[in-house]
Amino acid sequence: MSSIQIALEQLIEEKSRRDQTSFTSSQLAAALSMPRSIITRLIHPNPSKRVTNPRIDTLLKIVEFFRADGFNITVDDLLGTKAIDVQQQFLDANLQQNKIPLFSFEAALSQAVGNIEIKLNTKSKNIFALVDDEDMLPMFKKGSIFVVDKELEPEDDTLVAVKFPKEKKIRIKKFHIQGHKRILTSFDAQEKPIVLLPTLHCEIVGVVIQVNAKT
Amino acid sequence: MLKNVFKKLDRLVCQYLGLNEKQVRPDVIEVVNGQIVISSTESYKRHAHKQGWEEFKVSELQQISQTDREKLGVAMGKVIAKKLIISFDEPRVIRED
Repeated sequence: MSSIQIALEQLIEEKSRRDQTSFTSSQLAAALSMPRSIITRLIHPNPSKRVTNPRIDTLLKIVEFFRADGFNITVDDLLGTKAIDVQQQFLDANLQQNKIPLFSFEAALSQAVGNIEIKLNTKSKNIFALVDDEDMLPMFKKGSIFVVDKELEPEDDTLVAVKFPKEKKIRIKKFHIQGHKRILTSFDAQEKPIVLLPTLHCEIVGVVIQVNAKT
Repeated sequence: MLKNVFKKLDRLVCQYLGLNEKQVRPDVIEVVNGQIVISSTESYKRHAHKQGWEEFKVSELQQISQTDREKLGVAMGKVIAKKLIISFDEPRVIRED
């Protein structure tokens, strides 16, 4: 799921909710005096049909429309560009050595493959680690260790460990909240987003609080 | 050829002036089109250069100081997801046989 798709869908939904009347992508296209197909292709559920590098004037028109309508957004918000100043980061002085159980993604949580000794800053007693047995492209290499806190409630934009029905394997997904919808996306933009429905019966095992990345 | 001459000259001038050799500092981290991009600065140069994570990991990660590695991990966690920290430490794994 591209950030433009998420941001735009969220804006359309928020406008509908705020105005208490349905606002659609077609209405947005009409308001921007642009062909409906341009907006449709930005939020197309099929990644192969979705445009992820729209023209800057298209983005500016969308941003101007929503800003004029009272939404506080920028082009960066729409693109999902998040730049962080590395040198401004504070290092955690409260890291403590913990010994926690280690599981493999494949065997889910049925049996620990061992323990790890790892530095963490958490008071939670309900944490465990998962060792990745294959690359999680484009971010993490095989052998990376994911520390999961079972006590944390998933929030918008957190990484979660998820167990799907009929699958033994645990998967790492990004959790999004869009109005009343709960959506899971993957690092791989080609994978379709999953809307969490009560009928899906998937279990969010916990929130990923640390990744010891294999380099 | 010319590049090597300049490199030698650079080293000699730095030695004469008592300056340290090239030191890379990660400056800004961002996600561009789903890829992590790191802008770094080099000592005595005014510009920052950008590298994708894969390239940075191979060429620079081992060269930067421990403090910069830890700060980079904190920043990287923030660009990937909320409440996430990335560490480049290898924890001790005790496997059960």
